[in-house]
Amino acid sequence: MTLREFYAVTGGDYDSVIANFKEEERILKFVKMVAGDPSFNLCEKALEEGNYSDAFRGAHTIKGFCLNLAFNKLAASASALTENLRGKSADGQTPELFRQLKEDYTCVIEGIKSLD
Amino acid sequence: MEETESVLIVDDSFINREMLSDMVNKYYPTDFAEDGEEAVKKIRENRNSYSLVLLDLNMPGLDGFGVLDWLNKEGLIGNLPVIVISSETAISLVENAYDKGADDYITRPFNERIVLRRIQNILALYSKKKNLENVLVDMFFTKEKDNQYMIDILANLIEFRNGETAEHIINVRKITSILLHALRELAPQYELNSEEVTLIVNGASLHDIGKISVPLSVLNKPGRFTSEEYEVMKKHSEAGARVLAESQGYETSNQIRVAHDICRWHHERFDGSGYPDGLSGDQIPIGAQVVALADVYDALTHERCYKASFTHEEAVRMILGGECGAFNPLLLQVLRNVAPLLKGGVDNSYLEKIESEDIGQTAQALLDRIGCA
Repeated sequence: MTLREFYAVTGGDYDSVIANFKEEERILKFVKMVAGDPSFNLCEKALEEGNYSDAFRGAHTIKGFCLNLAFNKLAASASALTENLRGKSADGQTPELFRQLKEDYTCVIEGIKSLD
Repeated sequence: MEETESVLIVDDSFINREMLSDMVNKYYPTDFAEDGEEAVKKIRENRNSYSLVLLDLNMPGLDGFGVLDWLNKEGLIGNLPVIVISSETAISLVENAYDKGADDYITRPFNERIVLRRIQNILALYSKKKNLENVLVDMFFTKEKDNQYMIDILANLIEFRNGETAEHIINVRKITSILLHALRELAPQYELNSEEVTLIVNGASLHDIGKISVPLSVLNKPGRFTSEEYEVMKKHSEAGARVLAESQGYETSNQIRVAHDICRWHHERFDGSGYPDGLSGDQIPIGAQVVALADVYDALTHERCYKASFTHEEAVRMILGGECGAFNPLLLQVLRNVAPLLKGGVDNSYLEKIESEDIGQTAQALLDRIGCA
């Protein structure tokens, strides 16, 4: 899969990221780093343990790098969970918001594995 | 910016740190901190290594706001530029970052050219500000030194008439400076900032200007005074104070006010037995108390037309033993502390260093007061 195809499949904005970083090589370097980032695992584990402060931080970090890499779909689901957890507590919407985040995150990780 | 200075990237996310570094390090060296605590540690240990901080807000432990609070507490805000980089867009958070002294706030997604341009602009602004500060401090320094020279010339004229050398004035000034710096350490209650110390040290040179009013026959008499002659001699402290009180700047100049107090009250004694007003304890301005001690120590350790000189050890013992009038017990402690510095004469390079620091700090305080720094 090319980088442009990867962005199309994962709901990202290739044109925007290439405009900022100029070279695909640079973008690829950072996209591949996402696979090793611990924020999703931190968020998932913290939610299971009821540690909403760490869960917020994990979701917030995902949102941050996704905005810069123009992973728009994942950024949106991370942002929704971040706002839900901002008060450092969960509510009835939290499980669904996390499910969406997990789905989008998994899509990105699977896509990274298929990159040329 | 110096070659060795780096941009410190503070972010708990490895990807974010790498992304920023990739954008910045073509133009500026970078260093990293993984959270607020590490940032504080790095800046504390190597303040001069950093030209600018790129600061994330949400971090475990000490967050970005905590780092800004620490920079404020250390007085580094305004000296070390900080750009906050965050995906937080809530206006209350942006305002809070600015209120705590952040120079700029960049939201994600950030654009490479914009990040670089903002770093460049802020560094240029700080560099211009620093140059301006240096020019002002140099001007202040030169003016202050010129003032010192003029005061010393005037004081030396008086000493010349007294038949003494200029050495006494120079010594009293030096000893006063040393005593004041030690007193500042020992007794913070006197609130002796650098500006006040400089004023007192300058004023010390003028302590005996009232002797211009004493007839030469009395002033230079060998041996002991008669009681009438002593009364004439005692008038010099009031005479010196009057000259200053009648000068044009008395109402507005802190220097003249401090010099006036020293002239008038440098023969007062802590137990109230001195003259001209019989003040006691801390009714006597601390500057006058310190100059009185410096004056007595120097008079004891040098020959006069009416007496031989004593050794350093004898002089210190006589003062501590109360043979030369009553002094503030705190000042006697200061004398004990600085005795090794006074023995064998004062080291001029040491004195030059502490007085230059005072002038520099006073200039900086003035800049702070007018909002330049």
